[in-house]
Amino acid sequence: MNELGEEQQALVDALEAEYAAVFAYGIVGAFSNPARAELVATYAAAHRARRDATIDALTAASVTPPQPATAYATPFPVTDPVTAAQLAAQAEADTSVAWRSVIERSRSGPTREIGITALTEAALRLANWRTILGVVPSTVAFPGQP
Amino acid sequence: MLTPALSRPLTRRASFRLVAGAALAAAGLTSVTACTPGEDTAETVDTLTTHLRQARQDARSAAALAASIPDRAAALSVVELERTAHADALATEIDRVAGGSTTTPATSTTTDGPTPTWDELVAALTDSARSAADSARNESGFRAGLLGSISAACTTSVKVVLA
Repeated sequence: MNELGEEQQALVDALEAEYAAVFAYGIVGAFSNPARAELVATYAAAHRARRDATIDALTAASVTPPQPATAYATPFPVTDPVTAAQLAAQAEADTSVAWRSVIERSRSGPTREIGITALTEAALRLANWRTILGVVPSTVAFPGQP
Repeated sequence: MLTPALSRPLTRRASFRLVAGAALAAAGLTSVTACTPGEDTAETVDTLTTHLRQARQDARSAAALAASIPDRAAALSVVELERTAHADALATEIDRVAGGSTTTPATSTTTDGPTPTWDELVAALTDSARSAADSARNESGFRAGLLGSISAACTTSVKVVLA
């Protein structure tokens, strides 16, 4: 494979973040409050859709998409609904950072557009998880800022 | 950050990938801003100034509305603080782009017109989100990221904070 351009590398990084998020939501679904099953399913589906769209975009650009890791280590033990929600929030924060980076590193308007949409969606999910967790304020001024 | 627990068939060091991404982004920012042609500076400052004014206006509107709707003062305060942070970040970027050669619009405290309604604030934030996204598409590097982030924050204000 040729050396990746800046924009392609940003998309590869975003894909890696989406892989990790999809894995995280598997754990989130196992431990979260059953009353939130629909929310978790919706958010997990959104990450799978974003993952697949990113794979398609890379493939269209003749870049071989990386494979997901077999498993991911969570940054803290997930044992109950609260830690599950915290992991979901972490996944949304991580993907926010990755997509903001796509906006910054893109060389084309259409790719920046994708980055803006993906960042906005992750920021919305993050705010909803922070609301569930009782974090005040539920939002951050600069989504995706590491 | 979630990190791969097992080494993968294609690449390793994946646990550092987002960190590496951030570093690359920072490197990209330097190169992009360093080669911005001079004739674009005025246009860029104009664009950023438009967003700065919108941010200050939204902050003023949220503050004014908070005074008239005490029940929602906490949420409106969040909007006020975030839009103020956006304005400050934009002012910093304007200074950097202009190299200190322009006067950044002062933090105006003038109250213009009557207190907006809730719906008017929501409409203004929705418009701010759209216009920041439009500009982000046409910018590059740090500025694109900043405007994209501001757009995402405005949308989140509308759909979560003020929902």
